[in-house]
Amino acid sequence: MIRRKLITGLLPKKKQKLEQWLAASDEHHRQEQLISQIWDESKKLPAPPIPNIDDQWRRMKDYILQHNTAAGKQSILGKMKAFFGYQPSYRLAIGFTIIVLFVGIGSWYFLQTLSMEKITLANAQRSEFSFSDGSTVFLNSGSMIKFKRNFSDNERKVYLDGEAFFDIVTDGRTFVIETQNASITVVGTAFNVWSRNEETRILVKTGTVELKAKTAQEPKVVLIRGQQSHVSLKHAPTAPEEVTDFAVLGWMQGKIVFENTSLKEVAAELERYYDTTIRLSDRQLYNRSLTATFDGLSLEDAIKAICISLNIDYQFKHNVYILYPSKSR
Amino acid sequence: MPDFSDIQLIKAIKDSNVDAFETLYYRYYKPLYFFAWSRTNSSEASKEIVQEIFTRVWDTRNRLNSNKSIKSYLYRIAHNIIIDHSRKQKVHTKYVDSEREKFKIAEDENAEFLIKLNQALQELPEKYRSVFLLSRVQDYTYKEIADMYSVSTKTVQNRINKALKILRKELSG
Repeated sequence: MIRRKLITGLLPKKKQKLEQWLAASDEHHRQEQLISQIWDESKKLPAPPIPNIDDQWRRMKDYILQHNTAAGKQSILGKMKAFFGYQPSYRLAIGFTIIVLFVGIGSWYFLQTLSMEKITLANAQRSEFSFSDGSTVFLNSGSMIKFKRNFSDNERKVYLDGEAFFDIVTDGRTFVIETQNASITVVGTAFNVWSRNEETRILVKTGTVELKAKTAQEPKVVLIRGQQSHVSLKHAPTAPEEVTDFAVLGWMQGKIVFENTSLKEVAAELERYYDTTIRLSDRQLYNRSLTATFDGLSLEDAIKAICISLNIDYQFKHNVYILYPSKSR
Repeated sequence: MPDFSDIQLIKAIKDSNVDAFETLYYRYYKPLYFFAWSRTNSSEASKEIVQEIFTRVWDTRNRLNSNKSIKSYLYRIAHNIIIDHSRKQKVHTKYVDSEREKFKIAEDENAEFLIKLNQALQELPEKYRSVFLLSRVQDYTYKEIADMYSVSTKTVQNRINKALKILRKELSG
């Protein structure tokens, strides 16, 4: 593109070349003019309105205040140290520390009892957390969990969107997991919850779990070790079904496990796992089903494996994988 | 503490120093906002994205690494959030914002050409469009844009050339 260089300036030699090229035909002239026009006019395209950064910062600060006790794991002593050690304005620091101490202690008590904690994992992230009661949750990619930092006296309640494995400590209180469309009640047990697109699936590893649709109290389904069930949209939970193994839980070891999974869901899962974009070119592909376990495969290898086993083809274009029905035969 | 270096700021942020975090916020708000805007085409979405970037930085502050460039770290987070975001909101924001923007353009004397240009821009693959917008509308240098995407300036140049090429084809037809 010699023409673009026109705008940023050209070496004399190149300039000559460009002039020759322009002289060669009218078409070239028109092209050159259009490019210049695009270049100049694009300058006038509307810039986005710049938000009031002070307002935005205030929002941010509110967030920080609400979450001050969460991630820092810092004692107030630690905070004092940070203030003294770092602050250039010493005199202010002392005054500040006292205020921070009071405000800190006050809001700490306040927030301990009231505030909600929210953990969101982006794609390609998996992580384990523990609740204040000692129960743990292992959260899969592209999932969100919300809960009160301190559970109430008679109930432990969390909200889940995505996939997670729970290991619940028995302490007399029930543990309730709410998803978009279902409600899961447990006492002391370990089990997997998969909840995406208004579908919730439960697999129990140990203990007992009670599952019901969010919209209705009845019917409830009680699941024991090695059983699974699911709630789609607002339907009642399906009858308990025995599983032969716990392969589905492989995601906690970084594996991706599909058991008669529709290609549409496979694509969504891979997108979350690898943080990529996958498109299916044709609706007829949506419901092709796949059974496979991927352990430490690269994205490309995973896609290849899928294509071979389902006899389909793929293309990689503009950072997107496109799967389409095989052209041969 | 505006005249502290990024490295000093990061160290202080690791100690939960809110003032340092505030400085970082003001320092990178605009470039991140424009970066998000060039890719989402929506100022509302961009505001939310920038907010989320800083929320993540604050939440994971104890894992910050003062030996690594906070700038490229911020853009990397931005990139991830934008991808998440565009998946969710693809259709909606695009429509609303481009309508709104057409309005403003209409006051210009070259309105017709600009509207066409703007439409053609919307059709461009995102990686070309965003680079083009950052360079033309926001006046970022190639070097700055290259830093945002962690690619070479040559790549930025190529993308702008490519954008021009596609635009020319679109508009000459």
